Amino acid sequence: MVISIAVHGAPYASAGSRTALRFAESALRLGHRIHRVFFYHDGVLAAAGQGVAPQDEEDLHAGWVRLGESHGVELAVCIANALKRGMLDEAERDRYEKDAATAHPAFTIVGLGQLIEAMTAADRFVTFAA
Amino acid sequence: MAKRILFLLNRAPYGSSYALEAIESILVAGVFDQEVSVLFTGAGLYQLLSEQDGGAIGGRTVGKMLGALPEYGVTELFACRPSAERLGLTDANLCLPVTWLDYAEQRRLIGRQDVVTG
Repeated sequence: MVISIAVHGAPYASAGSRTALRFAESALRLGHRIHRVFFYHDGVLAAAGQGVAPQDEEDLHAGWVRLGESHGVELAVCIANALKRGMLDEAERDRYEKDAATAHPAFTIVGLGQLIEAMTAADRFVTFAA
Repeated sequence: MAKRILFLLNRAPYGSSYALEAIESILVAGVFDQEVSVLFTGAGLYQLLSEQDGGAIGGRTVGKMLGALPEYGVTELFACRPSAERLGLTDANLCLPVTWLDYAEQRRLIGRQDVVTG
């Protein structure tokens, strides 16, 4: 089955990000394909490359990066939600002349059309609310 | 092929950015020619209040954004009747016409969808 996932909650602040990561890992293990993970609302903060996880807690950002880099899952971050929360890739850093790119390169910053495409291209669209 | 997509809006308009950002995604779903419906429940009904002015707190007006939905082809607007009764709201308080649904009707609406999201 082809599955798309929406993540609405910030890592650590909301259980949604961790639950979504677990769901994605399990789905892959069971042989399903993840078409796209779309990060929306505070969910975009999963891309924060400068976060440091507490030593006694799971590193959620690293978990998402692993999903993207080791399993080839597309990690899409809503551009409008990302910019106002300080999540910038190198292109957006240059465009807005900011000091640093804050989003990890495993994540791509995309428009909202990709959210709708994620819904239409998948057999199931699963939302993890904040 | 177009999908039947239902957006559930259950959050108050100005307590967080969720309402505003959710509406942005609904407008895009309309642009992409999907069969979009919206169901307002609980505190989400406050998004529909007339006489809103988000400018007074330095933001956009949620009700005005909802007013753009028909232009984007989103005309299927539903609201939870029990929520309205609990909050003391009627059609006269709202800036857009909605179809009122009880819980059984909401279950049927949800059951007809390909995608249900927030």
